[in-house]
Amino acid sequence: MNDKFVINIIHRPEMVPEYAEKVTGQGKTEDIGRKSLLTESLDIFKFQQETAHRNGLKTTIQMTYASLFNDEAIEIAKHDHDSYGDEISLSLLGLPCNEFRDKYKTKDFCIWMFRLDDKKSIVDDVFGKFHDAFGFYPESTGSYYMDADLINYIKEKYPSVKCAIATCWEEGPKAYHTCNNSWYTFMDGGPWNPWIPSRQNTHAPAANAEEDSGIVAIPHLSRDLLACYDGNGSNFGTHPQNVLRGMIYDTKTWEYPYLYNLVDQYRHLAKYNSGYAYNMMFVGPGWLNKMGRWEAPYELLKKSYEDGMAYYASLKQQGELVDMTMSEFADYYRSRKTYTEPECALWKDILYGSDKQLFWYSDPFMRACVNMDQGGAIVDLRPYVAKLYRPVGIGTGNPTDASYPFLIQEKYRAGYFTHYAGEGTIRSCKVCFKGEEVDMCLERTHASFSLDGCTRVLTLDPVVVEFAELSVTIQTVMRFAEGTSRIQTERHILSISNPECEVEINEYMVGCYGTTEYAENMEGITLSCGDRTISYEYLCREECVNGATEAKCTIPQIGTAVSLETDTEDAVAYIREGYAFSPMFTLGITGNVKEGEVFTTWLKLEKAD
Amino acid sequence: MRDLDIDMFYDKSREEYYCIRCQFTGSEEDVLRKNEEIREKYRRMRDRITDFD
Repeated sequence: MNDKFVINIIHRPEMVPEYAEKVTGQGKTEDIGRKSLLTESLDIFKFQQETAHRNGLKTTIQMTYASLFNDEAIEIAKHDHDSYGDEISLSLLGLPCNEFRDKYKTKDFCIWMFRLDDKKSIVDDVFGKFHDAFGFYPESTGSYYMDADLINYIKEKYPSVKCAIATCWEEGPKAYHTCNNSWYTFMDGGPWNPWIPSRQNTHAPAANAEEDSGIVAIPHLSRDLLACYDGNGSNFGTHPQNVLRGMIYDTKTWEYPYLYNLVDQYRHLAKYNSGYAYNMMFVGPGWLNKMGRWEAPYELLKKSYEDGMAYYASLKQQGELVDMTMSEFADYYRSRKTYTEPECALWKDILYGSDKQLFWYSDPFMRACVNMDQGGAIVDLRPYVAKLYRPVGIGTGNPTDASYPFLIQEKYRAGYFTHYAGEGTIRSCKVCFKGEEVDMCLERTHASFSLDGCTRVLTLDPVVVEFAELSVTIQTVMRFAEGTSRIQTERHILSISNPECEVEINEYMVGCYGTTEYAENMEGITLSCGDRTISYEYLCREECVNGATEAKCTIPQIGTAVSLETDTEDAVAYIREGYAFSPMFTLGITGNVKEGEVFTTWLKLEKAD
Repeated sequence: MRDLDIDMFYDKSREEYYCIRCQFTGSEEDVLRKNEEIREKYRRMRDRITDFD
């Protein structure tokens, strides 16, 4: 199959763009029906459309509820569909208008956080109004987040829908912090590139036809997979004004090569995905406010949008890019990807000047992040295999948190280095010799990617572990066998300075569960190895079994069991319970190895009742 | 410098900008200089990168 870099350019005529009401109405009582506001909103949409078309690019027009009351917005959509092949789609963003507030008696505009009955009512309202305006139902829709109940309802009632913007990548607590703790919606833990959501949980891809929600989902933003994860999340995506928000431009020249570098790194992901690569640009009109924004004047906002479109156009002219509408993309995606085929990204730092690499892996059973600056440690792990049913919104007991829970998250739950007690969440390995211990988290390295049949292979460059009397050269190879819900880790002992010596390999995982920085209740969790069991009571207990080949933790709160396994017969398996000041669990497998040998373990994830 | 959307207000009586969330006060020059300091962490901000391996 030929390499293909596909882009979706999406615009929405949002009649009350975020922040714009505050600016156009500064000093006046709030009035979202103010004519100047509506006029400016439509002008921004027209500018975006004209810029794309001038560059020979087609768009997906996501009509908003508010725009469906505006004859001019409807006429523009029809015209541009006929003239340029733009898709007329429907967003569940852009609800705010007098008509919505009069009907639903609320200023809330985030459909994903409404009560389910209200979500359905709003959907029927919006889809009905769309049908009235255009005479058909849309083939694509979207919102900042759409939980499984919402997607399932839309698909059942409006089967024409085959594509949706369904979540935003890594928009959890870090985004909350960025917005001065005022962004009350959380959605960490999802895929960064398109996927087919399961009927059970939007973040978790479908493993087969039975789980298939019926739509192809795309993310709200194509984000920098390193800068967004390590940083505050909001400034690093193929969204020109987000790049300006992050101040990633030269103030004298108004240049921003980082924007193009980001597009190009997304193109590069074809190398890890059998020739397929994807990118999207979805800029809401609030980012092109004619009065400017606090971080950039309008002239710069406008220029950056024009430059972004021009770059896509140049790639298209070179035959390096195909622009599709969302519904076209859904058909293409289903023709290209199978259910269990993972999405992979070996991502490098393109902003901070480091040599750091992260490897992201996502399939129907897990999402994992491997950090080469920490010797190949797994620093983020989400057990999609549990297909956790986790509705979001008023009345669910979970009004704002749409994140998929983690087992490991090194930013929120400490990671390798902790100041005070115990260890934070991480999956790594310690190498031990005569009482000395070196954690591979301290062995920076790099990785290369390859495909071995249906197994994705991450081969790390060898590292030299130094002890007082010995040095050991170790190469780590990680294998992700498609459809197995397992990560195989091999430590190849390439050489030991004294070949008569052996070293101990201690493969371990420190984990917990949660979606935020704050500890969840660990009671109810069970640890086991061999014939030993610990029911979690924060009592700092430990069990160790010679000859056991598995250490396991069952977490009923998130319907997940995680285990470390080995095929080494004389290994030792151990389990550790944490305590209140270090509320994690630890699983471990240890064994001795000599030069030329390989120590192999598997991290396995299972659904558990 | 906190890595978040920075809200700066201007106090006309004192002719200075100030942050409502921390202790910063300063002139427009000071603010623009701080913005440049934030950019220092973006060491490859001006580079056009073509190698992603």
